[in-house]
Amino acid sequence: MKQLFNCEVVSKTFLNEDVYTLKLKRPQQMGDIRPSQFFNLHTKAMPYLKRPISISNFDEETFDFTIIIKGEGTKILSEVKAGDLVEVQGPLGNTYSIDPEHKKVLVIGGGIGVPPQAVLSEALKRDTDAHITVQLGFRNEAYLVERFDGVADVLQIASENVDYDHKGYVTDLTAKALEENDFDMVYVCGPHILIEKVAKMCMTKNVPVQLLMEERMACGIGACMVCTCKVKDDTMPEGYWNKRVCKDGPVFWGSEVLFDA
Amino acid sequence: MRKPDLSVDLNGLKLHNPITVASGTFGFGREYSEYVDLNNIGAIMVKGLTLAPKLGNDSPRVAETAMGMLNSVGLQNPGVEYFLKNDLPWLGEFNTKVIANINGTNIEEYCRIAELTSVKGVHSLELNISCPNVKAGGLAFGTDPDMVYRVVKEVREATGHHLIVKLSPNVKDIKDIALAAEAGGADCLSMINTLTGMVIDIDSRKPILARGIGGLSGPAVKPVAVRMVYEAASVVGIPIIGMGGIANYRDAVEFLLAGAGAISIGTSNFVNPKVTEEVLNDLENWMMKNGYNSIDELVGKLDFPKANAGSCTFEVPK
Ligand SMILES: Cc1cc2nc3c(=O)[nH]c(=O)nc-3n(C[C@H](O)[C@H](O)[C@H](O)COP(=O)(O)OP(=O)(O)OC[C@H]3O[C@@H](n4cnc5c(N)ncnc54)[C@H](O)[C@@H]3O)c2cc1C
Ligand SMILES: Cc1cc2nc3c(=O)[nH]c(=O)nc-3n(C[C@H](O)[C@H](O)[C@H](O)COP(=O)(O)O)c2cc1C
Ligand code: FES
Repeated sequence: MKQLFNCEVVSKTFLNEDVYTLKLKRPQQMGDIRPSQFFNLHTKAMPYLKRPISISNFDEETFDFTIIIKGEGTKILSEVKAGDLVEVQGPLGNTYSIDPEHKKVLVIGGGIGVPPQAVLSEALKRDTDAHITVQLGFRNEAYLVERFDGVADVLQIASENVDYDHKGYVTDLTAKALEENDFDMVYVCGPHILIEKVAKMCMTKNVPVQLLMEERMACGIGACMVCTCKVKDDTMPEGYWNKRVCKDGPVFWGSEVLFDA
Repeated sequence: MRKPDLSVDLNGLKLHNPITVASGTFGFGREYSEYVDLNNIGAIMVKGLTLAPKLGNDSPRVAETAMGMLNSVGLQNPGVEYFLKNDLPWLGEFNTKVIANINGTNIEEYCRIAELTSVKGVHSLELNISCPNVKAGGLAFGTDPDMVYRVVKEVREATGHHLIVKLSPNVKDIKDIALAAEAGGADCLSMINTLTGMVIDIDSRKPILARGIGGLSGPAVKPVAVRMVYEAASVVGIPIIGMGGIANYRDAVEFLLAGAGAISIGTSNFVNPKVTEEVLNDLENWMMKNGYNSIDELVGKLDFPKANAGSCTFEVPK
């Protein structure tokens, strides 16, 4: 039987005004955690439904979530203190596919999509010999950059409002990188518009791309059918089927997702 | 203390306990089987089935609200044949009854699915004439007493199986609808389906749901559901499965007292995947502590003098 865990908050650290990292004690019974997986988080004080949040770091003893305050739920969750309990369901969802044969990979993260890419980049560094290019996009100040410093062979940062490597969208950097390199694999996570742009660029260039998608969820485990992603399916009259982001995803292949239906 | 008898008999459908799970909130059981022992559930009402696989509505399909949520799934499901081949045999391995929730776009389709699902391993059919999230069929059938009578009667003629009719709360007078379903030949009623609602994002000035309007469920709807079960139970002679916002044993007892012969848990599974087992255990303990020996001792046993009952009913303004 899968468990629900009440995990003690070890620490809470604000990375800037509205981004914080929660470090929780990891229960011994919790299974393996893999890059791109997420957890359903809840406390009694929060609104009705649980909130899906990607894992942003973990070791044997603890696991982290890096969360952007977006609305009421993530705001109330930001008010927990060390010692408080947070209800945790997971790990949930499928995982990025990592191939040790890959020589050159590109990892892209934007905004809310940066935290899971830190876990991915570290796994790529550990499990492959690939040359890793990381491109991160922010609206304002960058965060979690130190996590990528040691593992990325090339690290580029774009911000819409602050001067880093590029002022503007991270996709500007991606277009250039795809022009100048032959990547074996691209991994992208972030707002829908970012994912769509990167997927389309990769498809045009015939570069395989894995997309970590986000959708509003209710159950988070595949039972309610509210979190869907259109995936090509020739056996259906419409040419696609609505797969569940929480259970069949959150990672999908760029080649299977239908953006324009 | 002796353990109470939790079994119930819903007009021929015998459950070993009165806890069921509501259609569309429990898939075909697989996902929640990782959290609870399905043998501890009286019956599973499976995700709404249609004749052909159905894609459902566009995303977003969920919007949160105070103590509840709106959904506009639009009956996405792999179709009845897929269910019979792939999910029913698996469900048969558990000691729980299987209820097929069936949905058509016209009466012929309802009858056809009823015939297809009247098989061994399906213990009852739940006729959904109340889905607010599909354009054709669904709610259109469930809001007019004459239509309710017609569709139930024709399905009744198409199958000898145990037949539950699921009622919509989005109606003028639930008593008329309940009576029409009974007259059409329903063995049992289930209620309520979701209430139509809307949530708007004030910053974008857009509704959250892609389809604008959706079905409200969760604790927010419970008092409405209890009232409707009470009203329907006061006019029909067939049992009712009560649902709408049940999150703990106290909610469940409310529905039983209002007149439900069994209860169903839906949206609360999302918030607490172990809720069914908790309600079952807590209900059993509460009954033992309070000296109840069977579920029958609770059903409809509301302490509410008949003289007051008149002043309780609520007239919908014309
Ligand atoms: C697989 C997955 C992984 C995620 N990982 C992270 C992460 O690592 N860090 C992080 O900060 N955020 C992450 N998110 C987004 C996060 O779940 C939402 O920002 C959060 O639910 C917003 O809740 P709220 O109450 O603050 O906002 P509100 O806008 O008040 O939320 C209202 C409702 O909308 C839903 N909702 C709103 N925005 C989103 C969204 N973008 N995605 C899903 N549901 C949404 C909420 O869950 C809730 O039901 C992830 C989402 C998914 C699906
Ligand atoms: C996501 C979701 C999907 C649903 N799908 C169906 C369905 O396919 N068929 C049906 O008869 N009712 C469906 N319902 C309604 C529920 O079965 C139930 O009647 C309603 O949610 C009220 O109970 P609750 O408040 O405990 O959830 C659905 C409800 C939800 C929340
Ligand atoms: S959130 Fe329920 S199926 Fe994905």
